[in-house]
Order: sequence, then structure tokens, then C-alpha cells
Amino acid sequence: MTTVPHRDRFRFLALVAWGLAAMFGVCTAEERTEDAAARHDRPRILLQCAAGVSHSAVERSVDVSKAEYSRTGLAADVRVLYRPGYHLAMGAEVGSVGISSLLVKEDSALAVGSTMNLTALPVLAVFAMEWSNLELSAGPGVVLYRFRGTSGTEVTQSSDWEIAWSLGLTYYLPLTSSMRLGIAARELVIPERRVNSTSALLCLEWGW
Amino acid sequence: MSDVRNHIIAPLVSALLMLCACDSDLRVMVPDTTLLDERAGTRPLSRPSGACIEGVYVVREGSHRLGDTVIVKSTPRSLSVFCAKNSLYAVLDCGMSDSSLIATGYWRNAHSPQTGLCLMRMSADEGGRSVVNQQRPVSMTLRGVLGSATDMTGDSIVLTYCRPVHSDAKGFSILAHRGGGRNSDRLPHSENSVELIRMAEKFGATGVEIDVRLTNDGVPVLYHDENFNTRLVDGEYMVGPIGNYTYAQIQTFCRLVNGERLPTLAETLRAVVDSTQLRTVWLDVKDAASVERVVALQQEAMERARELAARGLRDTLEVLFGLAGDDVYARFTSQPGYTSIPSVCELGPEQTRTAASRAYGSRWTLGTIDDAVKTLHAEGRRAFVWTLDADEFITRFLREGSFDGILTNYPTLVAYYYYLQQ
Repeated sequence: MTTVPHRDRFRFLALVAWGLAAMFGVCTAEERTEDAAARHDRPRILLQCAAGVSHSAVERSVDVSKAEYSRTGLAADVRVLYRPGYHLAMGAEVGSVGISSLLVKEDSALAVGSTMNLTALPVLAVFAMEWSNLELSAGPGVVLYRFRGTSGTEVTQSSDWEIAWSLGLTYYLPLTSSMRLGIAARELVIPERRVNSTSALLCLEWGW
Repeated sequence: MSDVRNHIIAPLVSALLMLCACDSDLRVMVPDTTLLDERAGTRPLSRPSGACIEGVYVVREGSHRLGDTVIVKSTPRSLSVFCAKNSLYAVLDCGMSDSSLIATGYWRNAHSPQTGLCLMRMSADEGGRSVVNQQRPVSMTLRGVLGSATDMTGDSIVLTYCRPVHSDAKGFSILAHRGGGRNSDRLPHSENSVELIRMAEKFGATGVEIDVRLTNDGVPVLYHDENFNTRLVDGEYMVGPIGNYTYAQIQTFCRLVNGERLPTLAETLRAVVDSTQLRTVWLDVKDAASVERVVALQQEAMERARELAARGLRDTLEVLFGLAGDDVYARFTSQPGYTSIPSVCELGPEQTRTAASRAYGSRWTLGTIDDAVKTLHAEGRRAFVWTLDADEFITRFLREGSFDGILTNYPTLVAYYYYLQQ
């Protein structure tokens, strides 16, 4: 049987649709639902810093039986968002997500002790909607997909840009009027690489 | 209510759509030909018997699938059928009993995913007895079925021998691009794989073009693009330029999209020499830094092919060093004795002369370039045209041009039109 990959771009159109629908919903309903005074009290500029662990689903066909292989890694990101007074906030995110790592344990073409690591560095647009301290966010962008391999003293590094998108859900607990603590779950999808990475993060938010 | 609709439902529905929008794989089944056990107890088709069965056949039944005429060609142990209609071809393993032939395999439409099982027989009375005895009979009839992907229910076909296939003394080259065709054409093996190159003759090719790149530790391997990508490979750790990786890393963690190992040039040339009768290998060398290594492997392969040819074990083999880029050309022409290294130059007739190339590779958009080809022929050189895939251009270049070979992604089509010529 022959498999021919065929990537559709429907998910990106759906993402755009989600963003447009969210903005449309906010724009049309805001004046009727939002308490203007309360709205103007809310911070407009948000800085969110998050760190945690990630686990990645990777389609792979290569035998890693002679290696110690892990798809769990560290994840961290920083988001800067602007909230123009509605539910919607928009901004950007940069971060780092460990995708997988491998340590060769038995003799093969690679020497014992050789390592291989994959990391994704996302640079994403973020659209976030918040209701009752629950924030749903999504955004398209790119990731710098980085490989680093070592074998003895030799180091191999290689990288490439890939299209990606993310989806996130965060629940916030207010600490002060301008600071909140949150727990977040995020999904980073790199379609071309067929990688889905799910992260659980602790998040701190400052608002101005 | 409208708030709920605007705030919750629309974003939620869109988000759900986004989550549900999965990658859709276009899965193409090359039928499992082990389902067919009709060849059990037969012995493989011999080369002399295969030569007897080759020819242009008239389609007596099944012309709605095959058109009016087909080409039947043989390779050791197998038969291939080439048609123009629907770009259909069939690749069949052929066995001989005491007095008849039976061939089982699959048919494909080269331009679409359509495929199915195929069975063909030549009975003793319809030419089989003579063919088994290595004599060309007066008349030959092949009867068979173009089945579905899982069984032999389908269209009956009857083919009657009409005349020998076209041939010319100098030997026209049908060169299969990337070792046999591109991944996008849903072939049973990945492009630039040894497995595909071993099949190229069954697709009607007399030679292959393959792409050569260099790994970080200086091993020439077969790979087309500069970067690893999911069009060509399946490998979690394969990111960015292939030249960043050692061969050990590639060998361990990289597979071509259909699961084959990414081959070295050395093992590929060994496979061509030892297990095919291909006459030409066109090395499309992508890295100037690889020139010396590739030349050494080229010489080694041609030497081994000469030894086997001298013992009657294979036809002659010409491995041509491809000169497609200025940097490769400059490095090649700086080699001592470069004029004696067989090469094919794509940069122009003048550069072809300077490099003392045996052949010029002309882009098809330049047309039939009759005067240039005539001059090259007068100088004892050949001219190939690349990359011809469409029926109308293949027929036009065969009819109006005087090229010595065509590089194509569809060797089955070129084979049909070339061998059909009167």
C-alpha cells in the first residue's frame, strides 16, 4: 500500500473563521452586554508568562528500540496581549516546546551515548476570549523547528521554519487587581510535521 | 439569546470545526498481487521467450479501457503492457508452463489513483507453445482481465499480435526521472529509491536519472531537494538541509516516504549494475563538493558493468555525470582528465563541447532544436530532452525531433509512443 500525504488547509480557514466569528460576536454584542464602567477598569495591556511540561504526539516510523526515547519535555512561553475594551484580546506569543529527545543505548550506526533533540520555538499570533476568568485562545503562526544531535564530540544542528497553530484554555485566579495566577492547557499543532504537542502550564499574568 | 449565539455558539462551532479538520491522506492501493495464485507451479519467463512475445498488439476486446493498440514489452521474468488511453499500464510477473504463459500483476492509470489486479494468459494454441519454445509464432493472442483492487471481477481483454515494436540501431533512451517517477504519481516505491530503480525497466525505461547530494560527512546519497521535507522523507529528526546530517544519522532515523532507506550512490550503482539491465544512469549532481567522490563511484560502476558485460551477464552501462549547475560544471572541468569522464551537460551546446560531454540535455521548452542536435550528432554526441510528460509533446518530439532520448516522469507513456512508431 502506498500512502501519499495530502495536506488540506481547512484547519487554517477554520482558525480564521473562529477569529472572525469571535470578533464579530464581540463587536455586535458588546454594547448590549458589557458594563462600560467595569470594562474601562480592566487592564488593557497583558503580559503572560507560562512554564510547564509538554507531551508530544509524533508520527514516526523509525525503530527506536535501541534508544531511550522520550516525548515529554519542558514548555514555556511569553505572551503580550492588547485588550481593546471588549472580551477579545489580541497579541503575540513566543516560546519553546520540547518535542522529543533520544539517547542511543545500544550499538547501531550511531555510537552509544549519541543524543538527538527536537525543539519547537513558536512565534504565533494570539486571539483570546475571556468569560468569568476562563480564557480561550487560539492563533496561527510559525515555529522554528530545531534539531540538535551529538555523537561524541560532534554536534549537528539543523532547523527549518514550519507553519503552526495553537489552541489554549486558561483558568485565572486573581491575586491582586493587576496580577493573576492561572493554570493553562495548550495544544501546539505543526501540521506539516504531523506533530501535536500538549502542554500543562502555570501562568502568571500582569495587567496595565 | 443573540448574545449566546454571538459570544458562545459561533466561536465554539468554529473552534470545533478547527479541531475536527484532520489531515486527509489520499491512500492509494497498489493491489496485493499475492492474491493471485495462478502462476503457481510455473517457471519464470526466460529472456528469449520474453523477446518472442514483445510487440504491438491490437485490442480486440477491452478497447474502452486500453484504446485500439497496446505495446507489450518484456523484462526478465515479467511482462509490461503500455497504453495511451487513460495512460494505463500493467506490470505483470510472467510464468511459463510446458506450453502456455500466465502473467499476474496489477494495472495502473499513470495519471490517476485507479488501479486493480490484472491477469493475462497465452494458451498453447494461441502462441504459447511457440513462445515457451523460444520461437516467435505466426500469431499470438493474450487474453485476460483488468480486475478490481481485490478480485478479478472486471473487464475482459483480448490482445492480438500485430507487428514488432519499433527499434532503431543507435538505441533510443527512455530515461525515468528520479529513478522511475515522482512520489506525487503514487508509485509503489519512493522516488530516488533503489526499490523504484529496480522497477524502472518494468515501466519501459532503458535508463534512470537520479539526484545526488552529499551528507555532512561526505557520503553521496540519492535525494532531490536541498532540505528534508515530508514530501520525500518520514523522519522525526530530519529537519532542514540534508547536508547538515551525517550518513549514520540519516541511516538510523530517516526513511523515504514509503519506508525505504535513503540509499547511498554506491549501493544504488551496485544495484543498477548487478540487478538490472538498464543501459543509462544520469547522475544529477547537486553539490559541487561531491564531484570527486561521484566521479570515483561512476568509474567503479562502469568498470564493474564492463566486466559483467564481457561475461555476457548484462548489457553495457553508461553512467553519465550530469552537469546542471555552474558550480558543478566549474569543479568538474577542473578535474584532471575530465574529458574522458562520461557526462551529460544541461548548460548549452557550447558548454557540452567544452566539457567534452557525451550528451547534451536540452530543456523541452527550447523545442526540437534541430540544427543544434544535427551539429551535436555530427560531433559524435547525443542529445536528450527533459522533462517530457504530456502525450502531445511526447508525440511531437518523437515525430519532429531527432533526439536520442527523452527524460520523463511517465516512461510508460514514452515507451508506448516510441515503440508504436512504424
